[in-house]
Amino acid sequence: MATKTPPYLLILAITVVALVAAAWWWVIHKPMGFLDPEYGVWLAKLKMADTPQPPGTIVILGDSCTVADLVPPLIGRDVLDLGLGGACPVEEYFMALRLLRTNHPRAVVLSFIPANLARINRTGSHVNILDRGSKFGLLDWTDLEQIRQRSRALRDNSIFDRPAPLDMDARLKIWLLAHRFPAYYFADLIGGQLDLWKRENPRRLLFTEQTRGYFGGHGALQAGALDWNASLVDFRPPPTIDFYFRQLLALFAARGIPVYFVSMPMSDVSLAAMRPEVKQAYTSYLKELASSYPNFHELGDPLPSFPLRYYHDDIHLATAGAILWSRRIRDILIAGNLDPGPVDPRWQLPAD
Amino acid sequence: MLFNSLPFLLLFLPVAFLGFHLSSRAGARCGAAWLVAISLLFYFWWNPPYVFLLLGSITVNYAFGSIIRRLEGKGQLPGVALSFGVAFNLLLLCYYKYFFPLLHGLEGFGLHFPAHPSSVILPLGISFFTFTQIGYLVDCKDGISRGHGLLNYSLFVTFFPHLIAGPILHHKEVMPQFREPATYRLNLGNIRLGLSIFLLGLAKKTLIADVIAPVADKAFQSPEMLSAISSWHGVLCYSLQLYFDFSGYSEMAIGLALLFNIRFPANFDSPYKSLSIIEFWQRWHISLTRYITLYIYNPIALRVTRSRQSRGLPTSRKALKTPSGFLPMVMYPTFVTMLLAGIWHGAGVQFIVFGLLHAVYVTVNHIFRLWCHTGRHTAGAAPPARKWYVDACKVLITYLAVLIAQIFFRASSLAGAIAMLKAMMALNSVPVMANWRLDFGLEKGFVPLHILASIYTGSFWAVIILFVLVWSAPNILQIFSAYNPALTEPKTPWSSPLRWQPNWGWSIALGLVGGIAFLAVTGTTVFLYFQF
Repeated sequence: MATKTPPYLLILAITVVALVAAAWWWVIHKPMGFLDPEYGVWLAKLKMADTPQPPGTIVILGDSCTVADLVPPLIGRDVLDLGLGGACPVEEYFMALRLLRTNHPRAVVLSFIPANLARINRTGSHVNILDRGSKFGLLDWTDLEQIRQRSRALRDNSIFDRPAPLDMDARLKIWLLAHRFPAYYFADLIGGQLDLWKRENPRRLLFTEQTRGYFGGHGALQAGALDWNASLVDFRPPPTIDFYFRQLLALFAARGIPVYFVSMPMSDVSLAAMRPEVKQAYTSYLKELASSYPNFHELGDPLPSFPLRYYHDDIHLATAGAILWSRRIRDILIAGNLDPGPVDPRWQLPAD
Repeated sequence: MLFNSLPFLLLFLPVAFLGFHLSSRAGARCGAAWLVAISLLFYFWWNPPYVFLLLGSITVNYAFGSIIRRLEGKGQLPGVALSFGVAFNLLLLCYYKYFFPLLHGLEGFGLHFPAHPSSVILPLGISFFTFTQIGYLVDCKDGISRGHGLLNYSLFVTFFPHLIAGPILHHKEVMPQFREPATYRLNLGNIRLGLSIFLLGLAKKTLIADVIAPVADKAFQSPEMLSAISSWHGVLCYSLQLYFDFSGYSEMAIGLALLFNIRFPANFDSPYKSLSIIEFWQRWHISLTRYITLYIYNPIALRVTRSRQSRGLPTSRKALKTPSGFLPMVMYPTFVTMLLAGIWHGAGVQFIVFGLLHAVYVTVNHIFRLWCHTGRHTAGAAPPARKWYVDACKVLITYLAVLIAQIFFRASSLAGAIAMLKAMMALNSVPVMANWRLDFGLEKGFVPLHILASIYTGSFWAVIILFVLVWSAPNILQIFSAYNPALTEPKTPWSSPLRWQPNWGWSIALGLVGGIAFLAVTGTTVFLYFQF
């Protein structure tokens, strides 16, 4: 082959490097523009966790159901919701660590749907803890490395794939994730059209701050649908989830903070379709935790339900349902001798 | 390790490449030894214990090869040694690939066996390295393969660009290249060529195959729930996914091999442009077709022919045109070969149906060739002009036949495949046009921006665009034909100006495509042919 050609390889390399560098810059500097609008909600929560809260605050930790189903100002003045969409106990453990750096809540309300404890998503596969946790700024390299080491020690390959020699695949992955390597953001960049969400993310951030952690949908569900709890064939939290759940409880126990587990409601159709053995395993799991950790208490029905008409999608309540459920939660907390503080009767949800 | 994973691209490949060119300075044997070592590391990375299985397989086959050669001229003994060697390979393959699924299947008929795992982890590429080595043993017996050192033999089997998903190499193609001193010298031309082809393959995998895969996966999850339009959408998406996945993998393998100055045979040559099923198999998984023709079809056909000759029966072309000649001389070897090709792909009944369907297609194709198409024209005269619409019909009919077989290839069970076929023919209870707006990305009305966005997520528009690409764009053998990227020539020469040159335009264009493809790499999706 002729060698008198332009510096082909050099030009090709420069083009690839320039493209990757540009994408990397965008990922680091413009996350509000392209990351899923849930990012705004997460950012608000992280900001609230870092801000010193008034003494006597009751903090809610949990998954997206706590975000969409609970309106803190309607439960009580002292309530703050730090639940995270798509979270399981691993993320909330690190959220709790963050919160406890500057705060000492009076009590913690905890809530995870069975599917998030079993870490099964809508398509039946394991949800990706690392994805949102690292992209949305909760987990840094130290946290990710701790999760890696713990999951390896527990021989749990549900978070990282089967270990390669020296666990190089997982080590490289967390290093790249922690340094916001753009390949992990490609789908977000395309889906977010680079800056599709530049207005939506700040709006959600502000709204979530104003509601002390609530963010939900308005419209009611158009057609009946089963949530993914109903499709669980069994309930077995992976070892890493179980470990961090217990760490979370131990963390609060060490500081003398009581933890109350309050289940969020499933739609009546989903609850009816849920397998009895899954219900049994879920309630037994919570009971076992309550017997192991004296600071852990269950409040209310472990598997409550609401009519489907109150739902925005298959698993999250619409605003009207969230208002109703928040009032019920206030009663449950008061009945459990946990005063959430007074409710301002004039308080209204900010304009969306 | 996957070619489309960050550990491969950021760690393994640079180390393998630099190590090869540095070690080759110390001599060809050092370069070859480095390649064997790095290829074993490649396999070790995926599942460390199985590297011993690979090493064991290489050692035993090399020993059998040596024994067979030493026994040459000693009557039946080479044949006996060959039988043992082939039996060893088939037992290994059967144990890992078919034994546990077979037990599981038999349990479905009420039979009980002692406690056993439902399956074992299939050693990656076992079908490929087993077939490669069986071919080698057969050639040792036939005197085609002469002695090769253990180092070169190990490299022939383990060379990482082909180790886990082909192409199935023939020793005569690559062994001479391993012996060639030029292989161990830095060749910028090959690096330019290899890197360019690799990036195009990567783009096909990450920017096309992986993007439409979820649509196909979702469709095949519950085919009984699909409307006719959704089932066609899902099946067409799978067909395109398979096409771009396999062609992407094949190009990445060719490109990687070129980085180490090795030329592979082509494995993929625009198969959906085929005018007949026979042509399809000459363009799709070319190395497998060649293998089964060489080691299964030809020996059977030869044995039948000799048997007929010994009995005084006719074996001429005229005899083929009679049912009594056609059945044993064409149909029988075709059915056996295609059945085995089907079983090679997997243990399920659906793979048997896949093989049998193709056997029927190929047989029908042979019937057409023998009885309906004379293929003759006046000597010296130009062949009759081909009419484009006739060719288009042939391509379409061939593709539809392939598509139906692909349903069995993809479905998780025979029942799943039948459910999909029923859905496609609107024989289930779901309205024909249900979900058509979703399938076309029109759920939000006819909004151009939404349609544009839906293309990326695999709507029908994407299917249409991709088929235009499949049926009109040149393949890499054609684009790079001036530089002989593979050992085989493209079936159809390409005369368009769109031919690769190592110039500014191509470097920037491929840099952009490669850069975007690299950004899309997360290494979470395996190649479809890895499961075989």
